[in-house]
Amino acid sequence: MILEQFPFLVHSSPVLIVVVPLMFALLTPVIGLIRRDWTFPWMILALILSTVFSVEALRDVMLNGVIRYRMGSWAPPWGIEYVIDHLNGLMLVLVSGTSLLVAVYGNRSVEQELPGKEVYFRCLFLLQVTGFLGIVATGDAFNLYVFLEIASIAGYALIAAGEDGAAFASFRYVIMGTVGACFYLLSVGYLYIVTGSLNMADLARLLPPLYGSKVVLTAFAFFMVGIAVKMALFPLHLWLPDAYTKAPSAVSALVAPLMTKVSIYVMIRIMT
Amino acid sequence: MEFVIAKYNYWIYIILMMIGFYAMIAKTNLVKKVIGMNIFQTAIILFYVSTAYKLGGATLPILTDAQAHGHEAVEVARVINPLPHVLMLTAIVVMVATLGVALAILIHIYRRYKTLNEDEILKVMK
Repeated sequence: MILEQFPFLVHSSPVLIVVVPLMFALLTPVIGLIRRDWTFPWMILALILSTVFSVEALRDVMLNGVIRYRMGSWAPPWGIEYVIDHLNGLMLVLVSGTSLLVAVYGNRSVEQELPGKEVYFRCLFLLQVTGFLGIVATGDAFNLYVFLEIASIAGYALIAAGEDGAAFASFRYVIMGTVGACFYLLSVGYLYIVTGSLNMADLARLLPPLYGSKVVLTAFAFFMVGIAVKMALFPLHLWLPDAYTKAPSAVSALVAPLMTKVSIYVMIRIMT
Repeated sequence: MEFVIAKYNYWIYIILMMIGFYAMIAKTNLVKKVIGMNIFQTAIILFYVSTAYKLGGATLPILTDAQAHGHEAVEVARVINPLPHVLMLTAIVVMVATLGVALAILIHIYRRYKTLNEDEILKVMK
């Protein structure tokens, strides 16, 4: 397609998918200072770019195999690596495509439910999409924690903007979500103690001989509880019903299909 | 007893974590819950920083010119692992951001319900 003329763009697409919404999100309040209604096309532009890069990355993965991008060109076990294979190539297209659709069709409800706050809504929306895309694109266990928290913190703020009672629902989500993320962080710490590596591909190579070790089992238990809170698996789902019903409709439309599913993706990625 | 004293920093991390957990579950005041959350996160920072420690007087990995350019190799056993410390810098930033969002939500709740007691808020909501 169009991007084929620019091999540089295809080569660095894993990182561009994530960085484009992040930079656009940071500039959204500035655009909002100049003209309030320019922020909507600005947000749509960011999401379209992100979707185009994801589709292009998926096409490239299908034709030429896995794409690996080294952050700051540090070699993988030490540096942070962004990997796109068949599974998360599809996930990236789904996440960016869904958020683009939600942004386009949720706009009217945002203007009705949050009059005067559209600029900040759009900024947080883009930040949350950045978090989701980052979780999916990254190949580094600690980097994943950072993106998990970016997505969650933007989500707390977005949910709190909803109708009466949303703030309390969001507060519950803050407490439970933080416990979940902290458990995930602990499990990464335990895995780092035994293997000395944070890279997911490297972990997958180093872990199998250590499966019997108590440290790995502890790490696995922490990981399962942490990610189960994030994906609202049955006994740990208490934050979910209130947060989804009280949030603004556009936020429910973004959080409900993506947040829990991205967590399930994390589970699939770590367990295989 | 020897086992407890030799690894005391890990025991402190577990105790701190449980204090934070208790505050988050049992306290009815929402501010105390937020403080508990913060203690919980601080415990994890203590855990990570402890993992970098090495027996036998390892110090910070600061290399002078003589060591970096000379033929003398850097002994791995004599420097602590800097990576967990660096990871915790990021985790502290995340912690502060979470705390900020939680406090902002608390202000919102206080303006709406005029109280920060969980039981009273639940009574008003019903």
